[in-house]
Amino acid sequence: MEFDREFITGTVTVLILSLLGEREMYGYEMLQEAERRSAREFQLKEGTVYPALHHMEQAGLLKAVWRSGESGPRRKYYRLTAKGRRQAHSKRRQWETLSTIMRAMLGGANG
Amino acid sequence: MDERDERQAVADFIERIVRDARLPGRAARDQLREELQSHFAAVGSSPDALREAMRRFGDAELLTSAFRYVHRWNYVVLYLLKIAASVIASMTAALGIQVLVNLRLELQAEALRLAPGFSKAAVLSVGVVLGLVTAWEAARRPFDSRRVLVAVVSRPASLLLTLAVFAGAIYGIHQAVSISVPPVRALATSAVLLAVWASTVVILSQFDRAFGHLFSVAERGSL
Repeated sequence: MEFDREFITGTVTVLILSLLGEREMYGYEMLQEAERRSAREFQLKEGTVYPALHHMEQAGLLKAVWRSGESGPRRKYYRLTAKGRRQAHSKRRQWETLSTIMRAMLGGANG
Repeated sequence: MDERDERQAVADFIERIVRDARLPGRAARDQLREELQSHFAAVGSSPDALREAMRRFGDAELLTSAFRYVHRWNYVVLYLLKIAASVIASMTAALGIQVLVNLRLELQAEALRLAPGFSKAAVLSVGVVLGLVTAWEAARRPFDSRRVLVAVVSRPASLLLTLAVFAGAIYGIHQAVSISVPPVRALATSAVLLAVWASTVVILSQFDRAFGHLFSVAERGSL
């Protein structure tokens, strides 16, 4: 499904924080995981995710660690910092509240 | 396109992103390159997979402008530090050249001393060079003195022509404000100022590399 850019803009940070709240991941892994969880209904774009990762790293929300795999080149894994974990918690609460409000409002409009 | 062509297209795409993102420091650029390479390695090696992966990145210009936006303050801070260090080093070089010239020409100082206002002109010229290099960096790829060296060596006639035009300008300006400067002195002044310019450019470039290495050590240390 294609989403308007204005919907996606605010969700990328929340999604990244949420995914990394579970375990450290590299960029491609995050993209695959987001796609798998949404049953391919939602595709994070590489062109959005990598600048967002760099931005969050700059902001001190993430820390990057290079790790060598069993085969292939090294990968840049990202993990949450303490600040990132606090931000993840806060964003998640905001998102859940907003989601509840939106469902109520949209449901009310339909009903 | 076969797999080899597609791999080359991916390599070109990555280089374009790294170049146009203009991250401050060589280590940061190397890391972005390696991160993108590892992304494409994870995608697979079939031409279709590589093509699809490139498509998913979207517009390269949007991507690089996003990276530039993310790293903008690092770039500004780095460049201000570089400019400050270059100004100090260039002033030292300019003063050193002037001292050397004055010492060598002391016996015939009146006859052969450089044009009036040489110090001000040297300072101004260093400022002009720094401004030009800054404009170059803002508008194009990161500055590289090797490219300038290649351009000069491959076209010595241009250098001589520049020197002649510059000497003519110095002579003409002094004539216009009624200051007597013999052509030989104007030529000597031009040569010294061009040397100051060249040293400024080389020093600026060397500082660029030095800062790159500094970032390299800092980033490796933090990971």
